[in-house]
Amino acid sequence: MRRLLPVAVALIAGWVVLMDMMIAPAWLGSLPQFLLEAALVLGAFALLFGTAHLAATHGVRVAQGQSQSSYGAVLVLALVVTFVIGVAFPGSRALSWIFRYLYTPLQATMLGLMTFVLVGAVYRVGRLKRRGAGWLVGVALVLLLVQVLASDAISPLLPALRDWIMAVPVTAGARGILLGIALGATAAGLRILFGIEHPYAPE
Amino acid sequence: MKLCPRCRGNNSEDANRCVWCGLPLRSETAATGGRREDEPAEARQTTSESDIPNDPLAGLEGLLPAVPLPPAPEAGYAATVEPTEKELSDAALFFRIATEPAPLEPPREPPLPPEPPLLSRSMRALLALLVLLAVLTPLASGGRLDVALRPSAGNRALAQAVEALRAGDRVLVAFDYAPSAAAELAPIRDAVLADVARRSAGLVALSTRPEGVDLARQSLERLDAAYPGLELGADYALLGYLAGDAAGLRLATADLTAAFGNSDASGLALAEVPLLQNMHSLGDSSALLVFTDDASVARRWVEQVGTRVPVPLLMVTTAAIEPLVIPYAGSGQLTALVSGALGGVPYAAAGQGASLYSADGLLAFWAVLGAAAVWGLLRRPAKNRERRS
Repeated sequence: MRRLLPVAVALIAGWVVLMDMMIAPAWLGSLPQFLLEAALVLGAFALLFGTAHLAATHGVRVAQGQSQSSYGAVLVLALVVTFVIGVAFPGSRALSWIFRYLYTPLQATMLGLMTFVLVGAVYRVGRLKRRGAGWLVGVALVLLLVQVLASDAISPLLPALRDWIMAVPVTAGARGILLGIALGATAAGLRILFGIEHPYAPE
Repeated sequence: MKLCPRCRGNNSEDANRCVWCGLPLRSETAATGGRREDEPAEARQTTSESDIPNDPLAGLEGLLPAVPLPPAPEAGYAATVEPTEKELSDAALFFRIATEPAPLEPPREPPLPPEPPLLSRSMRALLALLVLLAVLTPLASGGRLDVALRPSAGNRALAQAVEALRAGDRVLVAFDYAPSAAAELAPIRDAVLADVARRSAGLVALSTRPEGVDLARQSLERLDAAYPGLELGADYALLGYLAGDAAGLRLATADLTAAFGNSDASGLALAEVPLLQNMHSLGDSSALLVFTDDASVARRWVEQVGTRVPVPLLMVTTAAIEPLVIPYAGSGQLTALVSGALGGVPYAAAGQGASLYSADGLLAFWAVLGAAAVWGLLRRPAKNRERRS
């Protein structure tokens, strides 16, 4: 029963939502919507649960004085402060201040540092002894050149080259990736729908 | 040497018990214990043995007969042998080895000479300087090059979709990106939102990412400050965070109240927000505009919403995920796709004139990247020659 119940719930939910998506029979009534709402609540709860788990993990590290637990202390402190303000004063200026002047600049800084890393990496690639490095740098330079503003003033071929690169090789590669993802998702979905695989249930 | 008083056997100085007969041996001062030296030996022995508590051999004395040992040979000669130079040297070496403190750690291999950094200090400083110049260039130029950018097909499609909006229409805007992508998406985001506001169309914002709600709030506040006539609830609204990823989007296409609850992010009841009157699902809008930096989020919008809602789906993405979203634009599932700061500049420049983001900085940054690549290529033969020599 402990194993059968989760499998049965998963199979019913999967088939109902799939049928609603593909053929939407009227006799299903509001069951698909109920299942979607349940998924929504579970998704929100999972977010809360993940946050609590993160706080507990770092809290234990801090309590035990493990190495680099000071980072964990900062995390727990920031989490508690933000959580308390967010719950007690939702949408308040204090919450916006934290987000605007702490969280956003920190994330933007990480991306800003990537600029320097990128320039350094380009230089390093140029110094590699492998022949492929030359090709890599060459293609990168071509792509940079064709994307430069007013590149059509340099040559009308440049915008056309850029469009061709994006439309043919890049799109072909992206379609391959998307098809691979779709096939993998289909296979995994079918295995779950037919009860062959049940990662949610205990073995 | 210590002589056993019973069996007369020789023992080492630090022996506590005779190795021949087992008799406990005491040092002279301890054994006498302050007694008189003229006390009988037997009495002293008895007393000293009884002093040892829990002696495992107590009571066994005399069980085995003591065998007298032959006397130790005496030295056959008394002449002093002078050590040779080599013996002195060996002795000195042995002494040094014996008295050397034991190492606390296993012996280490000799440290390798430090490798020179791949980028010299001057090179690193130069690259940093060039990047800074690339950042500062737009400030100096004032963004004059923005208007020189050629609008892409996505730009034109986006502009047409926005031009088609009429007063009273609703545009649903998803702020599905992280703050790190805000700078890249800001030019076109602000320009599009301003265009929609100028056309008196309503803006309904939401996010499927928790941090996107505050980004949406910031953008709407900025818009409100730029256009004082706008009113919260009547001209724009913030639905809030939509949990559940694909399931959440799917539910929102069917029932907005079930997906978001009864109130928006400002605490207003959905039924009391004038802009949301008669809006029961995501499909009850004139256009869907999605800002995202995540290819899976883009795919989710196309699959869960775009396929079920007969509304133009407009997407603005970061340049990094453009290749994964292009196929949806090619198949017509996206009405418009604009990506990256480069893609956003023509729209922003056309709508608001020159800005400080933009083409000048991109051009300078490209120049830096190109210079770094060429420099690296040119230095490679020189480096190889150095290595060979």
